[in-house]
Amino acid sequence: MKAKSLLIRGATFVVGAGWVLAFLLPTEVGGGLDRHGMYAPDLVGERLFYTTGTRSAGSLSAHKKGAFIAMLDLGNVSLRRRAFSPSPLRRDDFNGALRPRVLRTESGFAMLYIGVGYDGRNRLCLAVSEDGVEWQPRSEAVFSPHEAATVGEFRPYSVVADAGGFRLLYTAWHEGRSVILDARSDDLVTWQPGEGVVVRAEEGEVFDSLQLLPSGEALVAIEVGDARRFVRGRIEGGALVDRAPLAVPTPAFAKRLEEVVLREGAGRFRLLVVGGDPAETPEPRFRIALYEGESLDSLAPAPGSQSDGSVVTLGEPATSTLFHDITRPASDFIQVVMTFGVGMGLISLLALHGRRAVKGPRRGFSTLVVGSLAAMVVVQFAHRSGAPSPLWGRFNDLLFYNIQQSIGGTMFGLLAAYLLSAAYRAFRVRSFDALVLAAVASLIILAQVPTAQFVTSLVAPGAAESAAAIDAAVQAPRNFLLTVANDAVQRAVGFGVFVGAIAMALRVWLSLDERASLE
Amino acid sequence: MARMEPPVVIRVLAVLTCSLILMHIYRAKRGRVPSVRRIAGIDAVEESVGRATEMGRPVLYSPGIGRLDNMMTIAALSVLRFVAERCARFLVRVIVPIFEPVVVSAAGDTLREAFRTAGVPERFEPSDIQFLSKDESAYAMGVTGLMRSERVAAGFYFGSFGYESLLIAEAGNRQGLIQVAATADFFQIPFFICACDYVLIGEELYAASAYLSKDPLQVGALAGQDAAKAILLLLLLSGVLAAMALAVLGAPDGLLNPVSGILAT
Repeated sequence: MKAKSLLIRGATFVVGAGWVLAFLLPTEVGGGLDRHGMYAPDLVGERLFYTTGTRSAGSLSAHKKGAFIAMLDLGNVSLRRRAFSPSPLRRDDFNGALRPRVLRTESGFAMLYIGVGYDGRNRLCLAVSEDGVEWQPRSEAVFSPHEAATVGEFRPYSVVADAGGFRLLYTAWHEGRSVILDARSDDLVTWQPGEGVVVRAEEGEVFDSLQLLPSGEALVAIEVGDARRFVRGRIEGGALVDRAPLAVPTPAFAKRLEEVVLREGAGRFRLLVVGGDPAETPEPRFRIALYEGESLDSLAPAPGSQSDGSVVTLGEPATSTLFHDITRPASDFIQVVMTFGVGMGLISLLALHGRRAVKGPRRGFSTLVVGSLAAMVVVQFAHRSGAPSPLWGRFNDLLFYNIQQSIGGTMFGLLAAYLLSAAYRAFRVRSFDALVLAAVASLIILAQVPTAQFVTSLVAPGAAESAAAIDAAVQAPRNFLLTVANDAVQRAVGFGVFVGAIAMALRVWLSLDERASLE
Repeated sequence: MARMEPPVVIRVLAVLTCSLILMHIYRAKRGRVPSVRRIAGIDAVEESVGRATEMGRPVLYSPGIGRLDNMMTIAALSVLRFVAERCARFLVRVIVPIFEPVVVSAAGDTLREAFRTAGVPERFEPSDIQFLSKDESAYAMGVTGLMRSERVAAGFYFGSFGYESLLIAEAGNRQGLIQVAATADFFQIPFFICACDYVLIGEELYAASAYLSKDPLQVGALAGQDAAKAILLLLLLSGVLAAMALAVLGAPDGLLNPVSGILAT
């Protein structure tokens, strides 16, 4: 008995230690700068700026938390470094920095990028540099699109120099339709949202990425359902007109194209293509390809491209720690065991009621339970296997929709009656505590609706204004009770539970409860 | 495929909390056992079992709807051991309705061990641990049915609960059961308070087994919890005072951003 107990305690400790270390240690070690891939790029001269550092969520959709911006000199690929990292000292980008757009200015370079802020929201941030290598991000965001319009998630945007200033275009939602809005700035620091919608998508279309080209045209990625296509067109009268599909070359690494960035100047077109392979192991990673040509029809891979078409070989992937390698399959195993538990429960139910049905108290009830269970299993098997049969379908509807769901709904409905009776008991003033509870509850209930206005409308319709003032006055204490007092109590309970759960976990891990029972 | 890491500050707080708890466990082991204040709800467990003994009726103990990886369920099973032990001493039946099938075997072992410790292993009845359903309404119906059919004298609801908390507790109240509930689910606490005689709020659920067992190691862990909470409270107060001082002094918005940023990293 003692040996068995020691074995259980030892196993609990070892397994628990694995989980504790997996929680405390970093989830991955090593790997190159862009070990998670490269995406959302911009190209200025020979300098490629791109986003990296995010962990893949198992698909090509990158997670924005932890993203940072890196730069690479295409003429000298050994010059590959972080432009800057998100910082805990900046509230608007300490969760991530992505999607750089670099512009030349009189004093050097300016980089607009999306900062993922303390609240998880995306904002437009700015960094400046004299040489394009050392960057100084501003401490706060320069534009918060969600404060100007209904923006799903501020992600695709484009910035161009325009009429002595700068023009920002970004996607948003307006009256249930995908639209493009704009904002203007003279100095890249202060932005004024434009008035009205710049472009409205057609029914069923969603604008996913966009850029304004120096020619005045716009290049937009349009999603219709799961399909995505890239089109060029002119913005005119609130619509994208003269649409022409852009023939995007597909590099060998890209099983799926994510976005394209077109740069034109000095009679040369340069097209950055971002894509990846969702089936890549150990994790799908974006790569970037660069195509150049004198026209969009004569694009060819840029000199120095890798055999798979990417501009540069990605850094080595990171390796996860031993503890994470162990705990992941262990978690899966636990899930499987939990699933088998349902079978165990069913056996327990059948064994108990089976025994009672044969011999025991309340034989009728147990017989009904076993019979119902058997009927449900038979009907489910018959209904779901083989050709559909109207007879089994009707039985299925009868058992699951007409009986089981109705009984469940009845029980849920009972909740309302029980709420009333429990509330009635709580309102009975038997002590000072109950008096305070009743007073607070009454205030909140009465302040939920315009009680004074309702009562006044019945007895003195002329005093509606005073009644409205009374209703407004009770809002302040109601809000205080609900948002300050209630919130503080919730957090206090939460803190206690957090610490209590840790203590409980520690007791289980170190088998303290077990020890108490052994002694 | 990598996964998101917990923020550094959470890891540091977890290590700090564990260290404090272990330190107090060590001190308790060396003989410096702290005293625990009386918790009316836990004292009521004894009273309820006494009442069931006098009436010659069983008690019902629901460990909630959480799975075995839920700390509340583990705490509930821990308390079950002591409740069952007391019941076994007075030859009172303990009926344990189960929502989560995996808990069936854990509860069975707990109950068997409790009856063995009480010296009446032959009184253990495996059919008293009943899996009812994995549907909350059906579970509530099952528990209510058991209350009526078994003419239960006392009800204990320890663990994680959803909306069925009120369905069960109110039905018990109507049948005149003496009821003790304990949960850390914030939104179910008011329901239990309305319908039960005694309620353990939040962390008291985790403290219950230490209080009942009087085991020095568990009581030491309890003292460690309090020390960790004191540090959290101190951190909170410092933050509030700093923010108030800055507001009074007219400091610009965002001066505390570096601190909040580091805490969120």
